[in-house]
Amino acid sequence: MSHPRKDLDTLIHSPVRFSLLAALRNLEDVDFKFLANLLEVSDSTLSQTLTVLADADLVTVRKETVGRRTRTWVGITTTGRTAFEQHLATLQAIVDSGNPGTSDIKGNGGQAAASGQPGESQ
Amino acid sequence: MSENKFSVEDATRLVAAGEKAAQDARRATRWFRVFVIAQAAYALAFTLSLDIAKVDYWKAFAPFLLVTLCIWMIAFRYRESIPRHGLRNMGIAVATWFALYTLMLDPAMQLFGLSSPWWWVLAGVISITPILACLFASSRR
Repeated sequence: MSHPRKDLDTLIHSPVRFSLLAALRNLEDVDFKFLANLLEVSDSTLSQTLTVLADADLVTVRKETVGRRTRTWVGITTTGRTAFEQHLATLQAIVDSGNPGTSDIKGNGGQAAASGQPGESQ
Repeated sequence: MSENKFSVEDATRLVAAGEKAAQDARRATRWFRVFVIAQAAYALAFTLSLDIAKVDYWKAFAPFLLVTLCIWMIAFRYRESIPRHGLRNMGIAVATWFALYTLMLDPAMQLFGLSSPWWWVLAGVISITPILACLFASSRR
C-alpha cells in the first residue's frame, strides 16, 4: 500500500494556495481585495497565486469594469473543489496515521520546492 | 530532484490553517445573509403595518425608509465581502417587492374585496420572495 503523502497535490501544497482554496471552498465568487485582506497577503502575491491556480483550472478570475474601477472576482471551479477536498483528505489521512517520522514530498518539476518550502514567506 | 521534509505536524498545521481560512471566510461573508433577512423582515413588517395594523402610510414609510437606508449604508460599507452581483440583485429585488406589492397585489386584493388579514399576510410573504431569493447563490449566477 502506498503512503498517503504520494497523493498530495504539489500545486495545492503551498500555504497560500492551500489557504486560498480553503477559503474559496464554501464561498461564491469574491472580490480580489477582500481575498487579499482575508488571507493577509499582498496584492502581488495573491495575483501570482491566482495565476498559477487559474492556469491549472482550479479557480476562475473574472475582471469587471464598474464605472472607472475594475473589480476582480475570484471563484473556485468544480475541479478546484474536488482537488482541494482530495488534498485535504490526504492530509487528514496523514494526521490520522499519526506517524511521528517525517515523509518526503517529491515535487513535479521543482513545483514543491518553489511552493512548499517552510521558509516561504507568503 | 526537489523534495522537502513533511511531517505529521506539518500536515496537522496545514489542516488547521485550512479550517481557519474557511472559518474566517464564512464569518466575513455571513453578514450578507443577515442583511437579506433584515431587509425582507422590514419589508414584510412595512406591508403588515399598513394593511393589518392600519398605520398611516407615511408613519410606516418613514421608519422603513430610515432602517432600509441604514442597512444599505452598512452593506455598502462592507461591499468588498459581498458576493458578485449581490448588491445589484438586492436592489432589483427590493424594487420588485415594492412594485409587486404596491402595483399588483395591493390593488388586486382591494379589487376582489379580500379583507381577511391572512390574505394580506400571504400577499406580504409573496412579495418578499424576490428579496429572500437573494439568500441563494444560484440567484446570482
